Amino acid sequence: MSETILEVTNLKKHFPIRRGLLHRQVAAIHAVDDVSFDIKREETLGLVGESGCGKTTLGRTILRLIKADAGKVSYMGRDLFKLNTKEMRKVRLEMAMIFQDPYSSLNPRMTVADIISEPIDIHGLAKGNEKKRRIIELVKKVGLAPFHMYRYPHEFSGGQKQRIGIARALAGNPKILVADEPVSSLDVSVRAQILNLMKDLQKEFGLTYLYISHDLSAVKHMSDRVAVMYVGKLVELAPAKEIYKNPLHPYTEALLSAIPIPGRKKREKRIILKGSVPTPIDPPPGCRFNPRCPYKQPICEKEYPKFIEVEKGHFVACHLRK
Amino acid sequence: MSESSLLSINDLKTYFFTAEGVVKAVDRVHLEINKEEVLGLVGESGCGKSTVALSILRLIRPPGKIVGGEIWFEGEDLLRKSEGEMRAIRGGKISMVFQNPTSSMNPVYTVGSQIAEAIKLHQKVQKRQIKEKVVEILHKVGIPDPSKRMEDYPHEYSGGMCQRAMTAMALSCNPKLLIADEPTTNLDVTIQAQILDLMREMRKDFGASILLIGHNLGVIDELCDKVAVMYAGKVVEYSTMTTIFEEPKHPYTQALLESIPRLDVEKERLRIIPGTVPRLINPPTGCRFHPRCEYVMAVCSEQEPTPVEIGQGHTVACFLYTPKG
Amino acid sequence: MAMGEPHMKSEDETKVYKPSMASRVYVVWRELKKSKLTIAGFSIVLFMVLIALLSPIIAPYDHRWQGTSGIPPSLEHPFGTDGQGRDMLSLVMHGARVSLYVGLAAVLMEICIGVTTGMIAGYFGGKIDEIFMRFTDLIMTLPTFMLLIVAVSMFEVRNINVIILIMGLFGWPFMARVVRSEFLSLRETTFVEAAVSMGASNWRIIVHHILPNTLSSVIVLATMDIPWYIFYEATLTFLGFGDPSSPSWGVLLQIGYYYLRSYWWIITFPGLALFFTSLGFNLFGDGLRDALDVRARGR
Repeated sequence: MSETILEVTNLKKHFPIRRGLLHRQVAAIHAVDDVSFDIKREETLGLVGESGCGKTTLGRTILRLIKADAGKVSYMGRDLFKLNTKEMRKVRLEMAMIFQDPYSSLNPRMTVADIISEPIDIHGLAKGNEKKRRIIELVKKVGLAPFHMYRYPHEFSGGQKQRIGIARALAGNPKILVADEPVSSLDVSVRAQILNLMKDLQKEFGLTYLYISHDLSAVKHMSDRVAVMYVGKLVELAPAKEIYKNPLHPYTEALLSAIPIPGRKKREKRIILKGSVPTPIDPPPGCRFNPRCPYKQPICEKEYPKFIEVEKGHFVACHLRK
Repeated sequence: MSESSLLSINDLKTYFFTAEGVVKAVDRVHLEINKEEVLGLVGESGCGKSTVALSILRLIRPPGKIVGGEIWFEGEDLLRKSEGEMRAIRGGKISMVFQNPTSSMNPVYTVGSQIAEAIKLHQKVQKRQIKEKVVEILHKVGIPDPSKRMEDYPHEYSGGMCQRAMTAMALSCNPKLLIADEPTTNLDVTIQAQILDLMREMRKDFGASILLIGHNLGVIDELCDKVAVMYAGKVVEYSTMTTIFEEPKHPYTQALLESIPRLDVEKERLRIIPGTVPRLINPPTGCRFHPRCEYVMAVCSEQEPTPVEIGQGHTVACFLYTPKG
Repeated sequence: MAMGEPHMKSEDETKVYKPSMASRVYVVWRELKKSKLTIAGFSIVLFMVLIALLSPIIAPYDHRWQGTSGIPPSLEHPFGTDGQGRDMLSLVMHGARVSLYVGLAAVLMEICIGVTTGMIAGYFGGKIDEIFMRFTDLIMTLPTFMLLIVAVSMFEVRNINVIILIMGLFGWPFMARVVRSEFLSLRETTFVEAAVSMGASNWRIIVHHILPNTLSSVIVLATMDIPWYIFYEATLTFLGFGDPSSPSWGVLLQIGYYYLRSYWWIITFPGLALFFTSLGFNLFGDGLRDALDVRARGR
């Protein structure tokens, strides 16, 4: 299905840095800067980047958990930022989030049943036995047992807690799920369980995923298309296989080359970037990657490259690839 | 113990005596590191790898206690040394780099002064020469503008730079053995690549052996010659780097390798290891992996498999390979 | 004790019963029983409450009865009699009633005003927080003492309820601050963010999510404050603001102080009663906080 379910246009979110008695703004963190992309129905779009790139802020801004400064997010044709509180509340049923830290994302004083049924309670979707039936169904769907329902979060392992979080996300019958580093906090041998579960659920319920992570291997495994972010901007967007075989942006190239792959025999020439990942505070004009880019040209310092489609379905923001 | 062996751990047992029971965090572990060799110690959280590192340096605090075994280093058993002797060794002959670089350094002292302290403790160096040494070593680990940056505080350093500084501190006294406990886990991928590269160079320049501890087999592969896989307090497999990827023999190693998403391999579903890592208060009887193992046999729940050499320097602790009888 | 996953056993789902209120109370009770100190505290509190409730019935003498003055502790008068010949045992028992009433009433006011203020300030932050906190600071710095003098002289009333009112109206700032700081930090937790992402209203987040997590702080503070208010009333009465004819322990202490040299028992027994009540509430409060913490429960 290639119908667009979510469309993000020129999204911007800056965090002001204030100093002094009068709280004057002296600088700004350009967390998300003029980002545009779309997500198609039932696809998984991976959003990848290192710390400070803005991917977490982007996810939360889309869900209106953070107030955007500019831009538009269109869900099923409706402009989310124009909805009033009541309408937005209803839409939230359809857009759920899975959080990174299973330990802090579940209220320690609530039972599993209460946690999972929260969307149902908030929106009055079901009561009594019907509600209980739905909870049991969700519990089983994520691989837990019904008798777990009245236990408390601390009685479960990290992987199980994440399952509870997923069940909660599904309780409102969402169409789109934003997963923010869903397996980063879990043991390596448990990650596969959760990733497989997510894929199964996607198939069964026809879900759309926005999969946010710094782990490019997991992102590539889960996603149909991958978007790469650097210091608040999208630098590349392409189908998952393409990104790996044919990375066009120098940053993506370096990122891929930096990832240690077990058993990679030939120690091929690694691209080791100089310098640290920059903070997004008042970035200079021009391409934000230019201080570390091995192919830098004079124009890269002056002008920011446009994000354009250079091959079919493959977008890049780089002066070298026009 | 061969001529080229630098560190030899025999039958190490480190237990934690908690209110709920005895946690056998490290249970009869054998490891060997040769001179100028890099050994990787791989396992998930709770498998005991960090405890092994702390045991080597005798940094285990109550309720933990090293209850048995020997750790031979340069012809002497570290477990028989006094605290004073150990202090001389820590940071001197054996030094350690930790996981969280920013919190491993004291936030109220400058980076330079902390490195200087390490140098002062272990080397007989004149006061004015210390400053030179600090600058030299910061330069070696790739910190730009070292004479200025040594006056900075840890929080003014980025994560990657902190880790470089920590590495500098660890290498400042020319250790024979560098223990690195998850040194890149909390760093961004591109920074991780830098640090691994740095360690590779340091190994060449200083000729130190490295014990690299981590849970990412890819990272381990980047640096290590040999690798030991730990599970629930025991070493389940030990071999050279190439062998572990080409011919993993232990079911846990195999399953682990197949459950990790890889950039170069297309897979619809990942192989899962059912169940969870066991708590070490009441570990499973016999082989600790048997409840999750797809090749489990009757003997696996009754006896503990002893490590058996099945190839050149390739040891496995599994009844699939132990000759019966 | 982690459970294996994924779980393959098939269970009859109708067998899952939601624990009733009664069974939840039972679990808390079971947890309370685990600590000897808590049981001790609970027993003392229970004992005092019973005395307070039953004093009209079980006190051997009416508190106005006057017999021979100055009798030291004896079989007839286990706590002796005071300077006016009133039976000390009965006085202490009646006093329990008054003092516990004072403590509980004042704490109730403190909880109502303090929690509400702290809740709103901590959750909404910004200007609302500033306004509420400045108001709280104002109340905190008001010279309660002066106000009492004013109130007493203005209204010509030496009534225990006036004292309770003033104590409660001016004693809540600390509770408000504690609750506010809890709300400030709990507001930033991920599970609150999760609730927002599901469309929860502010009301729901405050009452359903954050408030239960502040329970332990509130309980500890409240149980520590009950004896504090009893002391405070005792002090105020001692200093002359209360009703001298009421048998509150404060009054008794006042009388006992006067007679300290001659009749040592007048100050001793009310003092001991006050001490034990205070101890009881503190121990019980700690234990209750632990028993209510779902995470601390052993299995």
